[in-house]
Amino acid sequence: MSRDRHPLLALPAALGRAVLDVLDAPMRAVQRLVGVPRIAWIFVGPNLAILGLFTFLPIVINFYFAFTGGVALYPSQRPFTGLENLETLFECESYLDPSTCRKDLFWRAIFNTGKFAVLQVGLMVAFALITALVLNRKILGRGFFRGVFFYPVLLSPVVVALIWKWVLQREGVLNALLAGAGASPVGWLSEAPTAFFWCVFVSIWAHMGFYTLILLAGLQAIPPDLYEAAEMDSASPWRRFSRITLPLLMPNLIVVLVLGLIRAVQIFDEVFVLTGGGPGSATTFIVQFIYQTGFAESIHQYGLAAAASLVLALSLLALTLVQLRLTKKGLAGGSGRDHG
Amino acid sequence: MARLVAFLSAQRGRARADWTDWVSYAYLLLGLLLMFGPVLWLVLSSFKSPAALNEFPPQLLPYGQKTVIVAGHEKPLPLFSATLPDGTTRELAEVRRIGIQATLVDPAAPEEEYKVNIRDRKPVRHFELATSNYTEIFGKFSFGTYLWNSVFITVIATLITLLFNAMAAFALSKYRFGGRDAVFVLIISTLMIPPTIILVPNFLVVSELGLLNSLWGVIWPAVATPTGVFLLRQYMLTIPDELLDAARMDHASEWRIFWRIVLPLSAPALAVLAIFSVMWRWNDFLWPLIVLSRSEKFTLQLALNAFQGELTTEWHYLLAMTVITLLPVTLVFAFLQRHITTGIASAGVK
Amino acid sequence: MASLRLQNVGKRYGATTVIHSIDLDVPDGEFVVFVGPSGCGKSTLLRMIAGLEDVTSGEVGIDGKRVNEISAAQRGLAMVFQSYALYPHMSVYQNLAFGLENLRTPRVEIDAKVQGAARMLRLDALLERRPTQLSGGQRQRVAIGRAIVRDPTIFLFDEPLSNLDAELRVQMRAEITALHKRLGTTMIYVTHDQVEAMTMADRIVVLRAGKVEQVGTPLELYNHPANRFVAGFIGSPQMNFLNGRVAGADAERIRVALDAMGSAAAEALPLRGASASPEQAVVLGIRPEHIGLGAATAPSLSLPAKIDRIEQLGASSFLYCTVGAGERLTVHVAGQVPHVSGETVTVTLPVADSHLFAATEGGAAFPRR
Repeated sequence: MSRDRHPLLALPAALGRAVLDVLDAPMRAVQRLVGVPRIAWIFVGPNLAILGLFTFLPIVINFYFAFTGGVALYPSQRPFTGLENLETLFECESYLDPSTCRKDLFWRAIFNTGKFAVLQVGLMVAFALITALVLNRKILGRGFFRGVFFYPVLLSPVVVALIWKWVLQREGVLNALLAGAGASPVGWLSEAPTAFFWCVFVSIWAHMGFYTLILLAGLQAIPPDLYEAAEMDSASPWRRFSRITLPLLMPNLIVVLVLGLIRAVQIFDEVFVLTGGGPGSATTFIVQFIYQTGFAESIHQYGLAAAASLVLALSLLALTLVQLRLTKKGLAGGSGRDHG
Repeated sequence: MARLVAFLSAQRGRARADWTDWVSYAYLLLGLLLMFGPVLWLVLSSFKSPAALNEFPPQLLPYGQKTVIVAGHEKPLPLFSATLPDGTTRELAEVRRIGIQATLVDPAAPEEEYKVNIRDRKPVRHFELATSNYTEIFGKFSFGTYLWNSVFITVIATLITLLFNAMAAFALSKYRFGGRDAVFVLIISTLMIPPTIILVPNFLVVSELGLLNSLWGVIWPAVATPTGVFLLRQYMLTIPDELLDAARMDHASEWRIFWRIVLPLSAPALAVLAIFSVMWRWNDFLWPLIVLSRSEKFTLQLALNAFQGELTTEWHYLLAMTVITLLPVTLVFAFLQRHITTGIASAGVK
Repeated sequence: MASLRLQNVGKRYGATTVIHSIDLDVPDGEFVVFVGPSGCGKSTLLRMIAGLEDVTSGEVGIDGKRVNEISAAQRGLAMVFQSYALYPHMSVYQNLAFGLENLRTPRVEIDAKVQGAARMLRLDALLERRPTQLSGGQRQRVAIGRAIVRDPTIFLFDEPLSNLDAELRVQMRAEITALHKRLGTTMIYVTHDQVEAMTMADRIVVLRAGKVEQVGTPLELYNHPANRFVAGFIGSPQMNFLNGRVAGADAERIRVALDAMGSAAAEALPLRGASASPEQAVVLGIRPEHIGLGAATAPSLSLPAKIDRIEQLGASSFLYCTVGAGERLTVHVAGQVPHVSGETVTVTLPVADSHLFAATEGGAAFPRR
């Protein structure tokens, strides 16, 4: 270790040495006890313990909650009810009409989530692709613009929601611009269709940059002389895009679509702050239903919430499996990767 | 200038500037406006006084009314541009206002008073930053507490994350032990688990551990990030094993090897994880929302949410709070933008 | 099948001129090779003909028609890229068919053409494979096949063999030459390898720093290089260059005093020396294969040479010598020699095979009588 370190590093370095010295003796003892190869378990231990306690154990417990009823939090105080929670959720005269369901909010949330996921992902991936295509050209300040689209990704969902809530106020800047153009102001977040639209818009705004970068990397991996060869092959710009760019970009597109769908289905934070689920239940999505059912209402219905989250988890599992199947097919059929 | 034009229009050996180039630039400029515009609007608005915020349509920049010190009056008087009965317009300071009648004086000659209808006077304004928005939130709303909570959670969680993930990555990359691959797959598989499914049971676990309404209840569940383990492991795999063997020959304990050799050598990857972790913890919302129900434990995100839910939202304070909340991330972005975007791009290729 | 004409063609990137005003006429059916060191602009010139680069000045004409404004997709040419540029996600068949599909050719016709080209290039067994499953030589042939299938008016080759190993290169050279004989289409071939140029070309265009140094048949360039650069570029091993001065000159001959010889040479060179001035610095060029050892059989310049190194290959021998005050001389003689390294031998430079160049920047040659 060099002696000439930056003075600013002196404190952390001293702290580091302190930790080392304090823990060195006990760790040596442990090492003597278990031997070098098994000391790996000591190292991986803390991480595994946290995961075990706060991820694996809860998954198991969740099943227990889903199949029990009552209002107690502690499992032993909850009576076993079997599939009753799931039955409650799925009790509907017609599955296509949420108002005929016993838990109509659950079904409304599912429909909303489905609509949202399809719309948001479809539009977002389209815009991400267009942006990636534009950023792939030789432009002045390409690195700067890459960052521009990526900035909102870093902001917290609460901040994102508040930024747009402020813009969409009745006396906000958007209505001001409209008024300036002669139109009348709109209550953007107080009408169901526009509130839904803005949920989609804000969500796209906040996440598009991330997927743009993934697609951009995919575009840049395509050798430019393929396009020149296509030009010599008399391919029109559209054919160059549809027969060369798109097929070679397909693996990245699949990743982006599935990642986007998984995230869209679990949308909560920014929407919750932006609309609170309203007006009414127009922008209530499935995660908010689970949160509300389990934590926000006067009676915490842990069982129902757990059951609903099971339904959500199974859908996401299905999505992930579809992605795996699609990527395998994509690898074999579309992109011609090296089979080794 | 000619060189700039030539460079701008030099697309793959073509001298002409295509129409597609102009469209591209227009699109990028629109994107710039759309991405940065709302944030800038937020920042500008946060410096406006409540009066200015109530205006519709809003002004672009924060303006406040000019005030002037007039002899014989303790506090500065607001300045107006008044149309006097004789038709002239003068800048006068308002001494008092009763009903629709305002009493104005010339600051230079305060003895003479003018009585003017309030409709005949307009405030004289100048660019003024209402910094009181920022200073008052610390006093009135214990904003400092929320800030501290967020900072505490972020810093402590990041430190623990770095330590635990580095230890796990070290074990997974530098040791051969039975079950190693299973452990690795187990850790990575948690990436596929949606957080929603463990909300309710985690609430139970945290409650049983007595960590409900405690900042530690937010910290502990969050520190075992699989992404972090993956990242660090990838990096540590590139550290030559001979270094470790040499250290063992030098009678170093495994812990010493980890602490003095592997950890310092992994500094770049640790830095990346630190940035991610800071971002994740600072921006956390749903889980803290569930765990922390007493307002003195709120993080910045929770405080913002609670504050904006009130019936009469005091936007001038809320905006200032929001700006402070987005400041750290923005600073990180400003300095490290290039590295972050190239890092994500190359990871996306995998 | 078409002729190509370049008139005053130039290319500028901003302030840098990459190609300086080139004129060239390529008649229908000729195999022309653009050759030169890297950076000389040969690829740029090829790409301008293809339409992949804009022409800054001058005119490119195909079959008498100006094509500057016509896009690469519509010029009816075909190009074989250095990296082959095969579409990795398409099979060999699809790679070959792509160009015809873009022209809306009927399926049946596409199939016939693709099968025809595949047969010609022995690719018929590989049509369903992907490029990543092919060897380098096979990929090369697919790239050529892609060009053939389109029946272009001119074939363009951009250093197609540089990614192949030596043995494969020799084989592919022969295949491409056979292809030209069979199809008879105009072919423009870019390479930095002068052996490829010499063996394949009907005519060679030697380029340097964006300018044409000389155009001619391989043997013309070999026997009558127009300047010192072409003389040194063509021929392997490289021509020897010895510094000297003009001792005397007239319209029919030039007498030279080589630095390595001390005094003026006994024999004069049979070159037109009208433009030579007395004491003018010149460079004498003589190819290693023309230098003799021992007694001269024809009028020659003789001088002593100290052998630094000998390579005896059996059928011929290379002698690496030093003459005069340290100038290098390479000699290439047939058969085996009894000499050893360190010996001093007499080398003879026949005047009939000697070239003389001005010692200026351009290094123009004094023409033969």
